[in-house]
Amino acid sequence: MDKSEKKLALVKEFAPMLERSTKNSKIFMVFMLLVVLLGIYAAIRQMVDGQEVTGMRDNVVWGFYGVNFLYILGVSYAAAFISAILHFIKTNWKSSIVRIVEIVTVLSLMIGPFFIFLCIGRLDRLHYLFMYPRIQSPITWDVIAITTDLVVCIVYLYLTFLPDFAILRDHDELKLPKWRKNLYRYLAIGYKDTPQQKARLHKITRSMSAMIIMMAITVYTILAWIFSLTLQPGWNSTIFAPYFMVAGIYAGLSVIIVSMYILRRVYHLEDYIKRRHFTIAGYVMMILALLFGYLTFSEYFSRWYSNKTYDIQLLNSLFDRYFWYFIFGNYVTVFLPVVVIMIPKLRTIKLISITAAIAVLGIWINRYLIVVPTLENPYIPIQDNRMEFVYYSPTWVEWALIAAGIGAFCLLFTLITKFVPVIPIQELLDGPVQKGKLLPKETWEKMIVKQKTAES
Amino acid sequence: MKLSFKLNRALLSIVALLIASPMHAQEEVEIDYTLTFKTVKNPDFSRSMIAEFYGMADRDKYPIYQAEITFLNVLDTQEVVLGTVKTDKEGIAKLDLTKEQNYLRDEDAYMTFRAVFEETEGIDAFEEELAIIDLNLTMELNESEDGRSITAYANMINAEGEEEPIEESDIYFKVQGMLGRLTVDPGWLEYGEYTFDFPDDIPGDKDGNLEIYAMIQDNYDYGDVTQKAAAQWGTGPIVSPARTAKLWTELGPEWMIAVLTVLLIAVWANIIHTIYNLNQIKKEG
Repeated sequence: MDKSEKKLALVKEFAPMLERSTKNSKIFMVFMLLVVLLGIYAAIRQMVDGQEVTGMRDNVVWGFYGVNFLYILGVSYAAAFISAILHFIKTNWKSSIVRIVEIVTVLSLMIGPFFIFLCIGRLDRLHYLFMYPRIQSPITWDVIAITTDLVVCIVYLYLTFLPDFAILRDHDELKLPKWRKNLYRYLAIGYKDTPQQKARLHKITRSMSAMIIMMAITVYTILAWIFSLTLQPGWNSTIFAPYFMVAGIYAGLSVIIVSMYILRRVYHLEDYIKRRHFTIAGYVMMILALLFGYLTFSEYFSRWYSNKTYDIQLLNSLFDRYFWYFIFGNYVTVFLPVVVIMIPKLRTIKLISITAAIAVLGIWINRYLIVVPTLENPYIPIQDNRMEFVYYSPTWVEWALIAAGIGAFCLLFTLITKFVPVIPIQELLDGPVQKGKLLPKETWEKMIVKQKTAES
Repeated sequence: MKLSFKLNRALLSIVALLIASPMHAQEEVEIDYTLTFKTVKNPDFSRSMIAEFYGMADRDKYPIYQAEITFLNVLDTQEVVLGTVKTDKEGIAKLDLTKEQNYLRDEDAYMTFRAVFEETEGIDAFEEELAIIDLNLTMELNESEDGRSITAYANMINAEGEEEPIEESDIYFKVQGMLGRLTVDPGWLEYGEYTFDFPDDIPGDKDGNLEIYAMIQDNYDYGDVTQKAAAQWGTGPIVSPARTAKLWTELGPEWMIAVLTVLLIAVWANIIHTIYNLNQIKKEG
């Protein structure tokens, strides 16, 4: 079987995902769209009635929105970081997961910044950030960093999609509407996988990968500085930048594992995303969990030992009002991956994925514990002693917008997987397919038989 | 199997260590009590007897509150009770005696004072004794064309009750600040006299008023003696130059602008380079 035959076989293999949507998939997309619409309605209510409709008050000015912004951007930078690292690693197994990582990167980078806009009371003055920026302010650094990073990530994603756009353009066997074929033609920009084009594309993808690694570290460090450059108890820390990096990579990897599991189940990608992928990702997740635990312990221990009044006040609040959140976010999240990975019997695809899902929630709670309790324990006593001013409690508006964020992520993810193959065909052809490692002979035979049966 | 059992045990130990609540050792702590005693001669020639009573336990200091301290003036077998005072929350008992107070003196002019704490149910008896010669410290403030100077005179009261210049002693000149006293000149009294030029760069209050202290401190023969005088010798408030922290200026510091510019140029140059190459790919297609 030569390369063009293999290419055709792979196109046919992924054609059902691209050509049509199943009933379940349509129901899922409609449901997610409704969730997004509910979020849009909540956002409009907030804009019309003001931030009073949220749980945010004078002191807690970053509630769910701030936490989500921090969390989703962390996932994005982590996914970008992992994606760029994967680009430099010469292994067979990476081809199956690299696109999932890339999609997670861009989607989270598109959705995350919306949450910070929701924290802004006067959105009508948003353009002032660009018209009158103060270069000394970490907020300005963040605006510059995030917009630049968004451009870099979209360009990077496009580079990795380009060969597959060309493949989809060149195969008339695909039953696609004319507009989509035209769009593939437009996006493929005349790429024909010639040796010169290949070398050029490889060169720019490599340089962009290096840039992405640098950007991910820089941008998330800046995001950590928004907190650590203040004098607030619980935020003024020298290890916040590496702490945020590790937590972000841990959360990002967990999101990727969960996405891998769902896509594997939904699109029956068992031949591509194998147990090996989950085991490798699980080991990395365990190392990250331990690193995260080490930094968390180091952070809280030094605060407790220094015995400063406001830090102790904050710690008392964490071990009282937020006790179970603290246990879940900082203990379960650290020890569960260790237990699941270290005990061979537990090291299954399902358990690794469930652990990753728990870690996704755990890191979110950890971010919540960084943002909210600090704002509830300010240096200057809270003036208004009504409970909603003293303690933060999210309203339906915030829950709706959180759900909309998740809904938008799922919806866009599904749409992207309908638009480009979730496993990069060109990567498979250039790497493991030719070496016969990822797809052994039996798999090819199975694939051909399946396709012939479908055609007949 | 054996390895995983060991790992499980190790993990359980770590978890137990992390979640264990802090243990408190409930051992009985031994308290080491201390009574210190000093006497200070004040600027108006009155005298204060000051005793501090506290306990030390595990390197922490615990002042003894409401302890009765009796101050005595003793000479051989004679004892004159000067007064009894209870310690305050800081563990300090202070007895002020007027300048008219007479004291018993020995043939070398030494006055012996004693601070006594009588035994109670929980604390043993304590007493501290000191012997000093009475000393009158005066200050003379001089202002001339050459500048400002201060002369201090220190005369002890001898056995006959007459003033006599002391041979030598340390002396410190201080000015009262907002929180404490700032030393402006440490000097040395010789034959009961010391003169120094007063500095002309001390701010004082808003009108330049200064409270100047001459102090003999913790002297073996004379104890603590203080004298004070007021003078309008300060410069008045010095207006600090405008805040020049670069982060609060209208424009950021140059290094910050330079670093950001270099970083942004590097990133955008890479993006432009990528777009250029994509264009080349298009042409080659």
